[in-house]
Amino acid sequence: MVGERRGGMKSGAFFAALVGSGIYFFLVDVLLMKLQGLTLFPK
Amino acid sequence: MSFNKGKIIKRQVLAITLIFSLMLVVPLIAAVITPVSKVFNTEVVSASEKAEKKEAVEAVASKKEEGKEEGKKAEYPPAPKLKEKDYPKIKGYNSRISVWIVAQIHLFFAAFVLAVPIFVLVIEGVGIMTKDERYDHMAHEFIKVSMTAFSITATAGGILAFMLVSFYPDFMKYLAGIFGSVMIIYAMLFLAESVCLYVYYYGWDNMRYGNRKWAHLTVGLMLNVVGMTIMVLSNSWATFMMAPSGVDASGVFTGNVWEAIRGPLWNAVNLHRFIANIAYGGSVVGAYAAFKFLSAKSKEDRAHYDWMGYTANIIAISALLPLPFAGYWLTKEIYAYSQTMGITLMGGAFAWLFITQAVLIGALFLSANYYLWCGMERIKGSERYTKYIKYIAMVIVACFLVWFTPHTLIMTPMEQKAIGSQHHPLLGPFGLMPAKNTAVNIMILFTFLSFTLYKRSSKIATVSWLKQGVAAEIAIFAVGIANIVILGIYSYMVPSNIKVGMSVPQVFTTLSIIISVSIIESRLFKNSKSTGDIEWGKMPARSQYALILLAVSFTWLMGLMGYVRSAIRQHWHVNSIMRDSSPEAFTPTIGYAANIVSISTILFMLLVIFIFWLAQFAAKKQAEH
Repeated sequence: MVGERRGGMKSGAFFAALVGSGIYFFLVDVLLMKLQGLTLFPK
Repeated sequence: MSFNKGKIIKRQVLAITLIFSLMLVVPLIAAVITPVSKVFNTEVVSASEKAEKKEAVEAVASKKEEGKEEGKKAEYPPAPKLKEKDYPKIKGYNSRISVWIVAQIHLFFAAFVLAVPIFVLVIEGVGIMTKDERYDHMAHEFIKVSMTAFSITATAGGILAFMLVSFYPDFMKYLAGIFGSVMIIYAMLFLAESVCLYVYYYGWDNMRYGNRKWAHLTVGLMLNVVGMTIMVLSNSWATFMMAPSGVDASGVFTGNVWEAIRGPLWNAVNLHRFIANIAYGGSVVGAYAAFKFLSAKSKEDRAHYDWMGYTANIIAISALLPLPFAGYWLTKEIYAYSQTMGITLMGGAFAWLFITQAVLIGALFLSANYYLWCGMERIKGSERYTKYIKYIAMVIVACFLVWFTPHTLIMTPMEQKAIGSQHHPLLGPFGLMPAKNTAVNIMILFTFLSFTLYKRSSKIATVSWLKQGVAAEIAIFAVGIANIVILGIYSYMVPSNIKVGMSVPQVFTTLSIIISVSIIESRLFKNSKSTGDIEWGKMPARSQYALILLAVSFTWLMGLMGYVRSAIRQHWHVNSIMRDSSPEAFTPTIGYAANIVSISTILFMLLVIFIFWLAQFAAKKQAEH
C-alpha cells in the first residue's frame, strides 16, 4: 500500500514536470521567436 | 510525517514553478519593452541595402555638416593608399610570419594572465566564505604561476609593437591617428596593472587575515578591472580593422574615438574573449597541476595537485559550456555586418578550418568528460553511477561526429558520381547548422550530466522527496532535449531567417535545463550524508594527460580560430578602407596557416614548460655544502 503510494507520487512528479516543462519550453520557443520578430509557424 | 512530507513537496513544487515563471518573465518583459532589432540585431540586411541606407544617411549629414567636414578632413587624413614599396623589407625576416607568430604568442600569454586573476579572486573569496585555508593556498599558487607569464606577455607585446612599427609603419601611423589617445591610456593601464599585480601577489601573506584580507580582495578586484579594460581597449583595434566605425568611406576619422571603439563587433568579441580566456586560463593551470602531480614524490603533494587539477578542470569546463553560444553571437554579428565576410568565414576559404575546430572542440569535450569519469575513481560510492558513463560517452561521440561532418566534401569526379551529388544523401543534412546547433547543445547537456553525476557520487540524499525530485529532473531533461531536437529538425523546413532564429530558443532550453536541474540538485542534496572522504591523489596518471591534452587543444584552437577571425579581412589592413599591398597580403592555404599556428603553439608550450620548471626551481633551496 505504502509502496503504491510512493510509486504514485513518483510518477505524479514525473508527469507534472513533463507537462509543466513541455508547456514552459513551448512558450519559450514562441516568445523568443517573437522577440526576434520571427514566427515559429510561417505560412 | 506524511503531512510534513506533503508540505515539503508543495514547497518544492512552488519553488520550481516560481523559478520557471521568473525565467519566462525575462524574455516576456524584453519582448514588450524592447524593439526587436535592438535586442538581437537579427535584422538580416543585405550589403547593398546597408550601403543604400548608409548613403542616404550620409547624404543628409554631409549637406548639414559640409563646413565641418572640410575642417575635419584637414585635421584627419584619409587612409593611405599604399604600394608594395611602402613596406620596409628587413633582411632575414618575413614580415607577415614574424608578426603573426609574435602576435599569437603575445595573445596566448595575455589571455592566460588576464584570466588567472579572475578565478584567483573567486577562489580567494570562496576561501573567505568557507574559512578553508586550502582555497587561499591554491589561489596563491595559481597567481604565482601567472607571475612569470606576466613578464613574458609584456615582453612579447613590446616585440610585437616594434615589429608592427618596423614592418607596417604607414598602417600603424594611420591607426595611431585614430586610436592614439586610447593607446596612451592602454600603456598607462599596464603600469596600473603591474602595481595591482605586484601588491596582490607580494602582499598575499601580509594581508591574509582580518580587515587586511578585504583590502587584499579589493586590490584583486582592481587588478581585474584594469585587466579587463586593457583587453576591451585592445579588442577595439582588432574589431576596427574587421568592421571599421567612426570613419567615413575614405577612412577619414570623424574625431570621435568612442565611435571608433564601439564598432559593430566590439561587444561580441569582448564577451567571447572574456569567456574563452577563463576557459583557457583554467586549462593551462590544469596542465600545471598535472605536471606537478606527475612529478610529485609525496602522497600529500599528489593529493594537493590532484585537487588543484580538479578545480582547474571545473573552471575550464564551466567557461567552455557557454563559449559556443558567445561564438555563435559573434558569428551572427559578423553576418549582420557583412554577409560577404560571413560567407567567407563559414562557407568559403575558411570553412574547412571550422571542421578542424570541430575536431578540437570534440577533443576538449571528450577529455574534460574523461577527466571527470576518471575522477569518480577517487570517490567511494561512485560505483552507483559508473554504469551510466558508457551511455554518456556514446551520446557525446555521436554529437561530436555530427559536429564535425562537413557540408561540402572535397571529392574526385568519380567519387562525386558514386555519391550522386556534392552532398552525401544521408549525411549531407548533418553538415548544416541546425544539426550542429542541436549536437552542440546536447553535447553541453551531457557534459553537465557527467558533472552532476560526479558531484552526486560522494553524497547520499536524505530528503523524503528524493524519488520525486529525480523523476522531475529526468522529465525536464527529456522534454528539454526533445525540444532542442524538434527545433533542430523543424529548422530544415522553414526559411533561412527563421532557421537562424531557432538557435536562440535552443540555447535558452539548454540554459533552462542546466539552471533548473542545478537548483533541484542543490535542494535534493541539502543535508545529505557523505559516502566518505574523497581520496585526493588516487587518480590514474592517464587522467593527468587528459588535463594536458585539454591545455594543448585549447591553445591550438585559439590560434586557429584567432587566425580565421583576423584573416577574414583578406587583403585589407582595415576592411574596405585601407588595402594591404604588401607581397604577403594573400590568403594562405589551410595547411600553411595550420603550420604557422602549430609552430606558435609549440613555442608557447615550450615557454609554458619553462614557467612550470621555474616555479619548481624557485621552490627548492640549495643544500648547504
